[in-house]
Amino acid sequence: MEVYLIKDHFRIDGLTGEVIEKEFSGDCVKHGKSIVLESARNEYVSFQVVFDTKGQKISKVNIDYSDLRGVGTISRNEYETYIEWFHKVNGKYIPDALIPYGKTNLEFKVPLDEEYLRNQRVGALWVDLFIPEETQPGYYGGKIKVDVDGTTHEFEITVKVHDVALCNESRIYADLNAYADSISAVFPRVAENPDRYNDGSYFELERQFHRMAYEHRCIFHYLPYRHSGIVVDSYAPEIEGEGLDIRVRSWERFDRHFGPLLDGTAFEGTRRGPAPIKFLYLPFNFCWPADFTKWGKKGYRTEFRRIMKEFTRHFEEKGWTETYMELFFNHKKRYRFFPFDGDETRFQEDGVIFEIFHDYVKDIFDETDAKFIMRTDSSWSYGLHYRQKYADICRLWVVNSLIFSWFPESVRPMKEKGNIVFIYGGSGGLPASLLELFVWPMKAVVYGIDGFTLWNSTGFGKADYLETPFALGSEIYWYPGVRFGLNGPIPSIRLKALRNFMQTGDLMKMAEGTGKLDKIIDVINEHFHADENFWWREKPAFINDPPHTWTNAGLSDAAAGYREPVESPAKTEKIKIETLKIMDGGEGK
Amino acid sequence: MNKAPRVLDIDNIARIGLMYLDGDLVENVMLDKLSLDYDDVTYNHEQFYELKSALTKTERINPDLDITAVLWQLRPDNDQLAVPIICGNAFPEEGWEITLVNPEMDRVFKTGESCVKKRSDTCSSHYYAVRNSDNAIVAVLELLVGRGYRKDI
Repeated sequence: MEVYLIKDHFRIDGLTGEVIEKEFSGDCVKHGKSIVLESARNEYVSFQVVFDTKGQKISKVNIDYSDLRGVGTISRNEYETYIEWFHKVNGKYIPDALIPYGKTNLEFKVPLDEEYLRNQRVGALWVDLFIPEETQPGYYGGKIKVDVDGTTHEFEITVKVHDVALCNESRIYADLNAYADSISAVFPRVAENPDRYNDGSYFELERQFHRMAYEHRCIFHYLPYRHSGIVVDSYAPEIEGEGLDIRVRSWERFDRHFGPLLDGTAFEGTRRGPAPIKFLYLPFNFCWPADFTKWGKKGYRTEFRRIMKEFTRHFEEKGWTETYMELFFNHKKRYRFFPFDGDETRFQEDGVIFEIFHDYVKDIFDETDAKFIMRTDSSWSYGLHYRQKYADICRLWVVNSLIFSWFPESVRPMKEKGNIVFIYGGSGGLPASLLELFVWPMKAVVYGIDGFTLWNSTGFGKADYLETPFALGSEIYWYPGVRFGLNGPIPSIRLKALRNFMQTGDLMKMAEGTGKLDKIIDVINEHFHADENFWWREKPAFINDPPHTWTNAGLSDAAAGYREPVESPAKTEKIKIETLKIMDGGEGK
Repeated sequence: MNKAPRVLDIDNIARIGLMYLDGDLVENVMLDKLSLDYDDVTYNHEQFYELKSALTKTERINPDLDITAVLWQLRPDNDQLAVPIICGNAFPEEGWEITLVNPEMDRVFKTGESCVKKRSDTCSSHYYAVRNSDNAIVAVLELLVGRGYRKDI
């Protein structure tokens, strides 16, 4: 039996005890007696307690933390412990789902499940430690006692608390995209309730996702309508009448659904404190509220504008003026519901829809104090559109990460216009190195943009997510807690890692407008061995061809020529520590 | 008041719908019929609006039936493959991609006679020929009833 600590950027295979990020296993330090962590004030630091049983069973574990003492005290109550759940992926037991320790029906033991994890050799706990903002900078020390079936293992923990305090409001938007309603189905008690969209039970469940995202420095971004244009129940106010007589009949249910997100009360009791959600999709689309059978006729414009005007007026009356409300068209013509792409415009003639809808809403958006904006998700046509009228029409641009990397010259004009720019991409899921998640906020810093969108976050599919998640977990950053008696989401290691990496990214962004940011970018580049063609990529030969003639094979070929940011996950800690030094006013590296 | 049998309702709805579905517009609404790349779908916008509007209005004739209307064409290079070219309020049961033509739909394409494919005790697809001004069959109109939900992504 071996009990040791590791940091937050490696994972241990529950089957073999080997490091999941095998290529860099030499960098994974096993701390047998003590561990040292560095932190800003007002941020989390994390580590893991690993139990390598060498084939023995563990039936009972007790973990006890002392206060950390230094210039002052960091209370033991700032620790939060989670049981790591192992998923069977590619012949490994990869830990990801995190079950709150001592708060569910799951007891920590090895194996965790006699049947499913019969061959489990290694168990692990994930530990978060929050460093309150009022903590004085300096060194703090404490003890962790881990009792395993009567044998006690003791560890010393030292936390170096830096002077800098992490901002509560994220400077980078980490966007967890999803499609409503993709959560009811994995919460049977909610799914079986036909009145869930009325009685508040669904709102409560969805709000837990929003809170969990918020606590992890992310935004749960939940599209409220289907490709056909049908709005999911409760995501729009009830409307009645048509043409000149169209109006909102009742805001009651919409307000119950979204009011707490828009006024920030949904986030009361969180570490970051209550604040209105930063972004929400509007339910408006090609089929709502205007009747698509009237497309091209004045009645369509009338219906669209009248309800939009009611929205902005209602938001002003409610004081909901802090959230960016996005007019976004997710429709794709490949699905045969509409003749043009609202999303990822590829054929240039489809761009006309932005002009049409901008014409409908421009004066309404200009007049309101609420933040109503048009959004576009752009890939094929980004290199054309950012230079055209669309840059004055759409305020939020969510751009394919690869294609964005061809256009460094686009950043300045977009920022000068005040546009918000995200890049988007997918994930390699559980098998991918945790470094993958670190790269997203680093790109936001290096590119000088506002955020990133991870697609998708609630792609649970029909697979047993606790065994082998759908798409190897590439579309999941949290899990339903139902198996453990929780009617809400539980986090994952990847969500925790993303939060910790976002903290580093936010620290970096706090340096914007100062000379410190250049130093920080130098640190990033040095660790990634980045030259001028690393973050920004050479344009492919087909760049001047019309985007609709580009092929997926051509895009793949272009991407294959680029060096990916493959480095040891240990770099995440090194870069963070150097950033802390720079932010404290020291030299850094 | 007694209601007419459901099947008659659907046939009558189809007759009304077919009056407004111009076969000449249907014939050419999809511009690149040979592309196999799902991202390459291109439409004549004006023709699409008119046809989509006709499908939507057909679906609304009897809201109690909760009809989904879909227009199908055969691939020009392989008449064993069918393509849903315009969907009304939802996907057909087969989804949105190119699919093997089922025997009932095939019969409508070949004979012009309407046909019903029973999908379950409550759900069925009713197929009708759509003809152009030359009286040639250019598409099939599907009216799907009784599914109980709207299929989407």
